[in-house]
Amino acid sequence: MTSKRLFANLCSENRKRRLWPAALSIAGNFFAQIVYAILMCGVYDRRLLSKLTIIGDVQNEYVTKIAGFANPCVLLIVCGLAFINALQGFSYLFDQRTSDLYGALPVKREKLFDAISLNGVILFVIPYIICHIFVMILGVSKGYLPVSRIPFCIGGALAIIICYCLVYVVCILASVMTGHVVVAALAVFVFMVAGPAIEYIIQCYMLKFMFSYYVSGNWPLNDYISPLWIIFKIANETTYNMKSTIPAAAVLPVVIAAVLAVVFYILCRYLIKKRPAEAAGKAISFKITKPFIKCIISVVVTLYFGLLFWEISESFLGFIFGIVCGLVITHAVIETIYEFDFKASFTHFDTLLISTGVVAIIVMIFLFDPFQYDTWIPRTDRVVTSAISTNYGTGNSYVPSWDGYGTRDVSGYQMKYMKLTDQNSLEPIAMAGARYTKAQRLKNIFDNYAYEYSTGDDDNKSFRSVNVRWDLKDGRSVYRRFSVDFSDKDIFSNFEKIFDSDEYKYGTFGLMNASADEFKSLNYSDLEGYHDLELKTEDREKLIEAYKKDILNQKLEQIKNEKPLIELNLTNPDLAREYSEDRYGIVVYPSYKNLLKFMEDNCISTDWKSGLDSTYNVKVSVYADMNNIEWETSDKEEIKALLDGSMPDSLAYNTFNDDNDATNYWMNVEAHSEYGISNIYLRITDIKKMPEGFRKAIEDYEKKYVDGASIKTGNTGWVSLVSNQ
Amino acid sequence: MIKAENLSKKFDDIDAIKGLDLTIEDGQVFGLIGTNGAGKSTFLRMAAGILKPDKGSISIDGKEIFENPEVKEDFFYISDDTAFFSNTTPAEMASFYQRIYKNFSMQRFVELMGKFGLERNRKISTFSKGMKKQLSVILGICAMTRYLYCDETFDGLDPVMRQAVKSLFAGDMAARNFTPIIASHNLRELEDICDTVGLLHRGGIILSKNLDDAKADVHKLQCVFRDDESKERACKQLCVITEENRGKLYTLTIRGTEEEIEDIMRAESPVYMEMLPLSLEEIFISETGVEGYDIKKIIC
Repeated sequence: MTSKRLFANLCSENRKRRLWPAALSIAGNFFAQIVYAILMCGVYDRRLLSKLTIIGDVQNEYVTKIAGFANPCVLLIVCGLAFINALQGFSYLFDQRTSDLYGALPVKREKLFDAISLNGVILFVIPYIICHIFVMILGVSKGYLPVSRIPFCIGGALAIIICYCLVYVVCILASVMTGHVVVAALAVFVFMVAGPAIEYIIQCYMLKFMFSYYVSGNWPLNDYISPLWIIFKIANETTYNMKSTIPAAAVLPVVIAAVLAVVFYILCRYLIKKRPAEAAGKAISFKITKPFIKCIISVVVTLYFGLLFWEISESFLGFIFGIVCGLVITHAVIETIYEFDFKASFTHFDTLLISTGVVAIIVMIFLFDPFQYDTWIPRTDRVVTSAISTNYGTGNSYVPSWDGYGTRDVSGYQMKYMKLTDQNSLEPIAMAGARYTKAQRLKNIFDNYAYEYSTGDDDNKSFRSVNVRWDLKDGRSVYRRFSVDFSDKDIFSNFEKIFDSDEYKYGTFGLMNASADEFKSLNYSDLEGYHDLELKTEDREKLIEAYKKDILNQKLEQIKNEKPLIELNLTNPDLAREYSEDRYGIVVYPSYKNLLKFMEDNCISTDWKSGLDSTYNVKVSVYADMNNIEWETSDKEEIKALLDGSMPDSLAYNTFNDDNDATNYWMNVEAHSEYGISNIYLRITDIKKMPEGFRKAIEDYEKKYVDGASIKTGNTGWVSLVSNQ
Repeated sequence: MIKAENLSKKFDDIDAIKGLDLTIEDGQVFGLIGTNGAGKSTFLRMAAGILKPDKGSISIDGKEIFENPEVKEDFFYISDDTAFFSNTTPAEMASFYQRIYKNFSMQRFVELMGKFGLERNRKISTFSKGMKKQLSVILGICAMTRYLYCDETFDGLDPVMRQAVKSLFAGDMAARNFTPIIASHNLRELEDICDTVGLLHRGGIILSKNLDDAKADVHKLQCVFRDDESKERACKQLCVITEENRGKLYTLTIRGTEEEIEDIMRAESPVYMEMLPLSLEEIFISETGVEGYDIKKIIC
């Protein structure tokens, strides 16, 4: 019998044994694609008729979430069917009788493996493609899938098939490495979660023990540590790039998925050849892997146990207890699974000892930091460029996040884009942080003191969290986070030098690097209400230019004594439907002469109190623990005094001066003016400037409820909204 | 010819087969005898290429069996615990084997299923244990391979069916190059079918001998001696393996040729003398006795 004919015969015979998975695949694809698409078309029809959406949005959603990769139902059946098809197809590996039947046949194991594997893929792919074609036809006929977007859907289908193959092959690997269906299912779970679990426990231990550890975003390989993560990555990239013909960012993960699927397939093929027939019915096929698997699972689970008990007990002793529990429990459970016998818990103490040793070494490394991770800073001659980020002095800059989520993460922007060349100013700051870490770390670990550590516990000092990035000459970028006392004059003067440098400014104030087409509109709020105006391109260019000049002229010594005037928000409404229209934010200070001139020229308010003259009545509601303090005035002088002693909360946070007079009282002010009613959320910054009647209302409250505490330290919460009367 | 040399296989810490040397010639029925755990199934699974030997080798005509499809086309393996795909019928199983074994005879399958009274399109799961064994043998025969490995196949067959299977084997052996290899823990089951028997014990082969040769060398004699002196003289000259008596009637198992024994006995002029047929068990008692084993403890 020729080899090809035998292979065809094997495939054909194997298909006869896989009728129920085939039926399941057909049903799964029918419901996940066709039924889901029909249901969603109904939803789209209704939403379009009700004008709740526009056709462009529907088309984007149809392309990605119905006929594309990010269809959640399809992703679910991809994982489910891959699991079922793999375990059912290779179920003969779990049963000695069937295993012997196949083993005695005049067929190479690899050939049998190829035939069964191929059938498992066909079982999914054929129903999937048929249903997918129907979904595309439905989309085109309804007008929800433009013909030009069909390549996107075909690419998505190809990615789905590749991801199915990857999950399927991983499930086969679990089947080959085990000899019992339940253990195989557990192995699939381990393969899916082991990578993320290990990554997460490393992260947790770094955060718990290494006080200078900086979470610098996802390590690029983190997206590929589990087949499920790869699928999520492709789904995310497909969704974010829904408008492109083929989402380029999704191509790399798809290629990686394909390469991994091939690599795992080759590995499975090799293992099936080496797999002893007597493994059928046993927990683990390859005896040699038993201690390794046990040790890896034991160590990871034990480390989790330690952390869990530490968190519960808030004591280091709890951590030790958790470690001991973890070791004993994992040893007993794994040995019981290995031998299918509870009595086996009392055997193989050698591997328990090895696991204990590994855990002890890991804990010691984290505890005593023998590699000096926590206190390491590079020599300045090894550094090419660097970056520093702290919450001091960055409040006057808002930047769009580069990841497209619309968050305004200035710190992240600084760590990504700042290129400082003056290492001599940065080194003393990092050095001070490292010294403080060294002095405090063991005390903080044993006292479970991590949070307080980052801000410092000495009232006379002003600790700030400082993030540092060094780009080394060897190409590595190293990140650290330190707590540094900014009340130290040397530290502050070094930071001042950095702050005043152009490199720092270009790495902090994102608008300096922006182009005019990144935003379209400008909005702000003042006493007159909310204002939104569209800017012409030349105005936008002028705005950037004015801002750039002001920031380059900005000196820390000067700006720290200024109070911000108003906050401007630059937006791009075109992006609103995708994530957020917010782009850049500017907090305007009195020293920003060029910007203020631009604002005046364009009739933009230069003060948040603009409209004060026409305000004839304010209603104030101050939130306090026990009872809201309500106050109202129509006296112009009192209104002015009230606003002079307060500031919009966002601006209050943006002051450079730590020692400002801001209280812990917030209030909602409903200002009635000739322009209408506007609500503004203010923080009381100077109680002495407040109108007497208002001050008395606060003092009465404090006398009654706060037990003599001053307004400066009063413990209050958030403002409740006042009703529009 | 199947040849095992220094064959060894361990399961965890247990030696299932240990240094086994065995040759199975073609054209005979080979019986593999041994108690439970003696290593019969392990040997057959290695001979079928299911298990890989830890040490030594097992080959057919000098070609290793494990992972060698060309060689594996020469045999069909019937396991102790008959295995069929779930929810299948005999016809579907035959169709499966037809696609795998190039010489599989579907015509013969249909014919034998009829002869054995088995329904081709009935679900195998509804078959009795004996019917499943019959089906296994039929499928094995129809595969038309040179060797047929039967692991405890006769266990569960009724005497009529056992006889039918034996005649089936005999017919095939006469018609083509066919060598059934039958493993069993029951000596009596193999007595009238095997040409050669190998005795396995604790993973090693104690002996492997052609039954005709063994029978030619050992005889069972029933006699009444003239007197005690006459018995003493005869026994001194004869190589008596076992001796039983009921009054004056002695039953002796004697090693030696029939002519030698008759000559010695005639010289003593016994009152009564008759050569009786030997059972397989008696042959083995004599053979293993020579090797220093107590057969009663080795076989049932």
